[in-house]
Amino acid sequence: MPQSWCTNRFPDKKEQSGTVYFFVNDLKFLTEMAKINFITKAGVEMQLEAASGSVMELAVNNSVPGIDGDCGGVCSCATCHVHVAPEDWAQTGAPGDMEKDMLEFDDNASEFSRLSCQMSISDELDGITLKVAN
Amino acid sequence: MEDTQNQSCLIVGASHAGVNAAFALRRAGWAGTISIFDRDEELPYHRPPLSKGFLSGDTTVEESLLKAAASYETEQIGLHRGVSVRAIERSAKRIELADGTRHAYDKLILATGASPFIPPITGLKGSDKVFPLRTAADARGIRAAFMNSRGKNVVIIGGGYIGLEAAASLRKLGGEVTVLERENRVLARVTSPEMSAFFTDLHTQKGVAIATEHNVSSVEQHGDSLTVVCAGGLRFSADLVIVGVGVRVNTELARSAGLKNSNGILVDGRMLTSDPDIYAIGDCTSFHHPRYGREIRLESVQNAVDQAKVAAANICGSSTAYDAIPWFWSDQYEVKLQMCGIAAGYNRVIVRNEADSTPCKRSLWYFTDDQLVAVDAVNHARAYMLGMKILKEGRSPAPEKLADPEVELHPRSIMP
Repeated sequence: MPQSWCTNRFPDKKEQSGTVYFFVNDLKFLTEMAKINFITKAGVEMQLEAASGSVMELAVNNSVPGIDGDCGGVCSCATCHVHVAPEDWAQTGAPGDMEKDMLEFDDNASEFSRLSCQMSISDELDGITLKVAN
Repeated sequence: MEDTQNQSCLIVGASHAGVNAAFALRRAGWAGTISIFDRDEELPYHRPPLSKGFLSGDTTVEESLLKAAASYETEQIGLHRGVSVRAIERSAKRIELADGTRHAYDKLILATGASPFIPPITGLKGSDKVFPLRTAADARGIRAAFMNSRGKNVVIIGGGYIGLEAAASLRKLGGEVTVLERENRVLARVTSPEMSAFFTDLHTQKGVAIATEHNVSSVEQHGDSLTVVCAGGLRFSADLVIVGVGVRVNTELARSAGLKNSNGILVDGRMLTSDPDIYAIGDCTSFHHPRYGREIRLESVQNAVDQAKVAAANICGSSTAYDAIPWFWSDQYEVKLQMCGIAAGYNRVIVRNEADSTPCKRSLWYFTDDQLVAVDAVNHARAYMLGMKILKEGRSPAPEKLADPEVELHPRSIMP
């Protein structure tokens, strides 16, 4: 994320008759692509990129085998299960409470399991590697 | 698998079943053409959000697409929207569209789904303020009518999942919502009295009026305002009416082609109809489920997607039989209900409330004698997943251990 965003939310903001104008540079963070590496069960590597949406949506739209997202991303089906590469765990963070509950009794679950529908794409995730669990 | 390079697979219906079948075919190695036909003009979308996040304005249809538009191009799947299929000519192995054009197939998949049932009640048909809820167009119509109405008075005919989810979504937006149910409890056809009571309480607390044993006899319209009249004379005024009283299976196409039907298009475990080149999947099928030992029909995303995969695998030459455990979910207000298995025929239910949970995590475990047959979990994904695991393994927990909230909900503790 650009430093300017963190230190000063709208450095180039111009106010005029109540209308807020942004310069294109301010919106750059919205379009910054995150590259995400998927490794399928069959060992095929796929590098995909997106600027928004969930990791599950990115995988589904690119037909990554083993990521189905049957429930549409509402944490109800566990058909988008991935194992985060241990070195990338700090970037993705741990699962939320409900997500953790959905994973606990999954035979394929590991300490690095996540449901990819609960992972929002941002540049925080740029460069991470995910192994498809199923 | 035989060479499919010069073959054609046609799919009628572009919802969960049809679209998943198309992509599963490609994954299973189908090299020939794939074309999907659907009456709906929209890019295929997830239906469950229509009564949930879409009505409440939390999501859009565009955000709920089954696949991105580009995916159809990448996978070379032809998507024909806004067209209806008029007939199947089985002897010539082709389908005829409403405009008279014909398309030849080597394999045909019917994913024709179901249509909302509009009961023959005076005033329900023909009103621009009365809506079923099945398609994106229906949901947009409801949302527009609701947002443009003055009083935000909504009457929902039918207390099933669609009706209750719509009630929750519109209540969130400040609607004055009344649910009229013909039976003596909501969700009568789909869940236990215990769960019906839970959802009646939930909706009542949220300010939705639930009236059971109310049979609608007519709907009167005066200008923009409607009056729903019940047998016995009770009258409810409304700005819009939603009808959610179940569906009729779309079997006409299969029926007129002479395919076997019962409660739906009859298929075997491979999703094959009575024609060796025609498969059927999703809401429209009736099939013998090996786990339950009887013929069933399921209206769910799970069934649509799993049957799609089975049909695709069989078309591509690997012999696979359908044996999935049914699962469902429903989101109402902040409550998530997750269900697995089929509770039909249960004779014992264990209700378990986790002691220190807010909101309350609750699970209902249905048994036929000593055999676990289904689990309903309220805000309790852990119970749902555990139930699913145990059902898959064909085992059963000890009811008295389950019933004790002091016993942890874990296979090491609850099994006999």
